[in-house]
Amino acid sequence: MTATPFPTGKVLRLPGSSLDQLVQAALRAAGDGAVLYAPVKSGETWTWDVVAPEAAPQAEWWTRTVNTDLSPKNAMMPQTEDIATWRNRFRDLEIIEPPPPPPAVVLGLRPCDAASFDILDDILYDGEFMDETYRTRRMRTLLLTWACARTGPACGCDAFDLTPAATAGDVMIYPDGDDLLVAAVTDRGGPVLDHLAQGGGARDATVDEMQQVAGALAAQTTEIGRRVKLDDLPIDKPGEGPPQAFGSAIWDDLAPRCLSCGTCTYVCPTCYCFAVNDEPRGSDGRRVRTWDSCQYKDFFTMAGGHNPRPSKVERVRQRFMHKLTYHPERYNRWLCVGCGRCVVACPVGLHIAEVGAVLAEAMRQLGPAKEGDLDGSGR
Amino acid sequence: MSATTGNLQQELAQLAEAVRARAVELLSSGEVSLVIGHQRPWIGSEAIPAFVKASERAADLVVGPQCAAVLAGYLMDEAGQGTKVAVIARGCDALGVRRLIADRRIAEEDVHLIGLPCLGRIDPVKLGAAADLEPGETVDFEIGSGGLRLRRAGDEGFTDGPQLSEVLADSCLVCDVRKPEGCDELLGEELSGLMAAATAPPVRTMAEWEAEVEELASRSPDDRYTFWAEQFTACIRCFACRNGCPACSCRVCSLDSYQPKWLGHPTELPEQFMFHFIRATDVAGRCVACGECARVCPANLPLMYLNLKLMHDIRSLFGVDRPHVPQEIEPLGKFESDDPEEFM
Amino acid sequence: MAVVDKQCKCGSGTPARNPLIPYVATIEKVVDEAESGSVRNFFVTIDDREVHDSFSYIPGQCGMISVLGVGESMIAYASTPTRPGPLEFAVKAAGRNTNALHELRAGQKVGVRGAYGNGFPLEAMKGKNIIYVAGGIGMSGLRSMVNYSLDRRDDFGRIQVVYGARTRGELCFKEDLFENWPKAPDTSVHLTVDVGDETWDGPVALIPPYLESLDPSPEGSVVIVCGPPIMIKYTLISLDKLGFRPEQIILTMELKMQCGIGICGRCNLGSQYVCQDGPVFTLAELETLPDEY
Repeated sequence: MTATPFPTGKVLRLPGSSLDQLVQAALRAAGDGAVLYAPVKSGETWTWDVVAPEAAPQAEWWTRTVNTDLSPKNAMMPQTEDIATWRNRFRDLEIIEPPPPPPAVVLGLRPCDAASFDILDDILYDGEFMDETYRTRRMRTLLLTWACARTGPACGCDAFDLTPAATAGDVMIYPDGDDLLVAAVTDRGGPVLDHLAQGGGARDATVDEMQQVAGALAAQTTEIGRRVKLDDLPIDKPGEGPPQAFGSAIWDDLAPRCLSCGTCTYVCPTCYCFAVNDEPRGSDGRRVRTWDSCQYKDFFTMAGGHNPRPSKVERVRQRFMHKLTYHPERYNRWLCVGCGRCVVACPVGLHIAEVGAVLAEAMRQLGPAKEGDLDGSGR
Repeated sequence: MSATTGNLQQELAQLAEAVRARAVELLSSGEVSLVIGHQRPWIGSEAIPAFVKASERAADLVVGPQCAAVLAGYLMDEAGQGTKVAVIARGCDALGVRRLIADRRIAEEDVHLIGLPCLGRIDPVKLGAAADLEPGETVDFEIGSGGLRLRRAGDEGFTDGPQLSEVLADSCLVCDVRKPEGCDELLGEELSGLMAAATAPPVRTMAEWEAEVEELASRSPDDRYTFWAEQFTACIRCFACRNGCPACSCRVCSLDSYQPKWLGHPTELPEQFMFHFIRATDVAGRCVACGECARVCPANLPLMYLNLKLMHDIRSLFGVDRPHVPQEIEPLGKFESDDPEEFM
Repeated sequence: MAVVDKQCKCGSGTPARNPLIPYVATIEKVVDEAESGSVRNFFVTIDDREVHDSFSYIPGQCGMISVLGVGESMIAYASTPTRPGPLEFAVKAAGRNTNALHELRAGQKVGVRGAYGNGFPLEAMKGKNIIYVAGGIGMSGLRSMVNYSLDRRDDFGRIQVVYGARTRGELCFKEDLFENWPKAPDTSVHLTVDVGDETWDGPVALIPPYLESLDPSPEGSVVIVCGPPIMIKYTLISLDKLGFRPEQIILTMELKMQCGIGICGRCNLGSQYVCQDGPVFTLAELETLPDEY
C-alpha cells in the first residue's frame, strides 16, 4: 500500500482567476454533452451536483474550504439509480436498459475523494463481475483533483497511506499562491492540458517546479495521522484463521453509543453497499439501486427473519472490520481514505479514527494469535 | 447569567465530581449495572455518550455545555435487561426517558434518573460561526465571567469567546427544564450559581421560537414547497433523525418496513416529503423538543420547524400549556366533546 | 492509475451487458415437490433462445430469479448442466419474493440471471466416494450435484444419499428418490422421516442419529451437507464422531443477498462473499471465517 508518485508529464501554470478556462478545456476533452459536477450548497450542506460552468465555485473556495460535507460518490454511483425498467403486458414482459449517462467532469475533488474511486474500481470494476452503470460513468468522467493547501482538523488521509497531494484522478491541480499548476496524470488527462494550452491563459511550467510544490503539499500531516498508526492490524491471509480482531472485546465498548443511523456510510466516499428494489407502477415499473447501510438493523436479515447481526455490536464490528481488515485482506488497500467526514458527521463520535486507534492498540496488546485461538478472543 | 458566573466553572467541576461519586456508589452497591452519561471525545469538541459499567470508569464522566447527545433512546436497548440503568440526565434526557416510559417502551422501575442543572448545549455550527472554528476542531471550554472561554488544540491557554447564549442550541434557548423534572434524585442543588442559571427564565420563549415557524407557515404554498424541496433535496435518508429521537421508539418503523413496503427506497422528492411529514405527524403530541433530530442531521435540515408547527397547533387547538412534557394522557390520545372539528 | 475500458463477463456467455439486469424467461411448468405446497419446482426457459442455449453453470451455482415488481431471490439450480433443457428452481416460500413466486403459473414471465457462486469442487471430488446428507428443503441444493454425479458416474466412487424430511409427503423430488436414484450403479438411497404415518414404513429418526446408524466410512470420501441450520449443527457433530475431517465436509452457506455478484457488500463472512467465494465451502474453510451466520 504505497503512495503513487507525482506525475511526470506536461505541466501548465494557470492563474486561479482563469479557472474557467480549465473547466472549458475539461468539458471539451470529456466529449459532447459533457456535464460538470462541482461543489454546490444545497440548503446548509456542501455537496456535489451538476452545475452550469458559471456556477462552479471560484478558485479561492478551494483555498478556503477543506472539503464538502457529502462526498462526490454520487457522480459515479448516484444514491438512487435505475437498473432497468420493465413493461409488462399479457404474456409479454420487456426489460429495458436505461439510457447511458452523459460524459462528465468532476471539478476539484480532493486527493482523498479521487483515491476513493481507485478503491471502488477494485470492487465495482475490476472484479469478476462489473457494475455496469459505475463502469459507464467511470469511463466517461474526467476527474480533476485539487491538492489541499491545508488540512482540516478532522482530516486523516496520512493515516491511510495517502497525502494531501496524493496522485489520483486524471488531472492534478496544485495550488501555488494565486496560481494553479495543472498536470496530466492519465492518458485521458492529456487532452485536457492540450485544450487548456490553447486557451491562452496558461503557460508552460516544469515538472520540477510542480513536484516541488506537490512535495510541500504532500508533506503536510494531520492530527489523526499522527495519532492513528495502523501497522499492527492483523491482515490475515485466508486460511490462517478468522481475523483476531473479530473476537476482541473492544466492540462491546465501542458499539453501545451507535445510533444505527446510516450517516457514516452515506457521507463516506468508499462505502458502496447498495440495495436493489422494485418500484412497480401498475404492471410496469423500475428496478432501482439505492445506497444501503450495514448499520441498519435489517441490512442482514434473511427471508424468514433470521438476523446474524441482531445487535449494534455485530453491526459496528462489521463496518470497521470491513474497512480495516476484510477489504485489505482481499484488495491490499484500506477501505478508507481518511477524508474525515465520519469524524464530523457521526452524532456520537464513533468514527474510523478512534476505532482504528483502539483496534490497533488492542491488536498490539494481543500479540500474535495463539494456536487454537480460533476467534481471537484470547481465551 | 447572574453575578456569580465567575464561579460557574468551579461549580461545573464540583458537579462532575458529584456525578462521578454517585456513579461509583450506585455501581459498587450493585443498585445499578450501568450508568449512561457523557465522556470526552477522542477528537472534536462535543462530549460523546458514555456507558459506564465498572466503577473505575466512572472517572470518565463529564458534565457541561459540551455534552451533546440526548441519552434517552439508549434505554430501549439497555433497560429491561434485569438490572437498573442510571442516566445522568439533563432536562431533555429526563423528558426523553419519561416519554419512553409514557409510551410503555421501558418500565419506570428499570431506570434511575439522576438529574443535574444544565446550562444548555453548545451548538457546534453556531460556535463555529461565532469563533471561526472548523467542523471537527478540538476545543476545550470554560465558563468565564464574561462568557465562554475557548482553548483550541495546540494552544497553551484559554481565550475569550462568545457569550454562551449566542451559541446555545435553539432547543436550549427556550428550555424550561434546565432544572430537570421528574427525576429520582437531583445533584448539584447546593451549587447556587448553576441552580440560578438553570432556574432563570429562558433566553427566549417557546412562543418566540414558534413565531419563526409561523412566518414560514404564512408564506404561499408555492413558497413553502420551494423551501422544503430545497431542504429535502439535501436529505440523504440516513434515518439519523428518527434513530436519535426519543419519541421514535417503534420496534419496526413503518417507514422502513419491507413487508408491506409503505415507503420506497429512492431518495426522490416525493419519498423525502413523505418520510419527514409522516414522521413529524407520528411524533406530534409526543415530541419533547430536545432538538436531537436537528442536531444529528448531517445535512443540517431545520427539522424542528416541523415539530414546532405541530406543537403550536396542539397548544392552540387543545389548550395544552406545555406540549413537550409527557402528559398523563397525550393530547392526541384522548378527545373531549368540545374539541374543534371544522371538517364535520 | 489508468482506467482501461473493459467488458464485463457474465454466466450467459453472450456479449456484455449490465449483470444486474435479468433476462426475460417463461415458466414452462410448476411442480409441487412437498405435499404441504411449501416447496415448488419451477421449470424456466430464457426467452432469448441464443442466451438459453449458451447458458452454462455447474452444480452448486445459483441463479437470481425475479418476479418483476416484487424482487429477486438467489436460488440454487436444481437442474443439472448434463441434461439440457429448462433451468429448474426449487423454491421454498419463505419471504416476500418467494411467496410472490409461488403465485405464478406456467406461461407467466419471470426474470433470470446467473450463474453465480463457486459451485461444487468437481475436480477435487473426482475419484471420491460421495455421501449426500440433506434435510428438508436442503435436497434442492444437492439434487443438481446428485444427478450430475450419476450422469458422470465413472468420475466418482460409491454414492450414498441420506435424506430426511418431516413426513414422507415433505420429501422433495420423489421420482428421483424412489425410482431413478436407487437404480443407479453403486448408489444407495437412505430415507428417513421425523414423523411416521400410514404412507411410511421406513425409519423414523432425525438425520444425525440415522446417519450414525448407517456408519458411512470416511475413507476416500467427501460428504456434502445441506439443510436447516439446526440439522447441520448436529450432523456435523455426528460426522466428527464418525471420523470425518473438516476438509472432507462440504457445506452450502446461505445469507441475505441482493446483487449475487459480489458488489453490494452484503453477504460477507469476513472477507469472503457467499455469492462469489461460496456458497460452497468446506468445513475447514468455514472454520477460518467469522461465524456470523
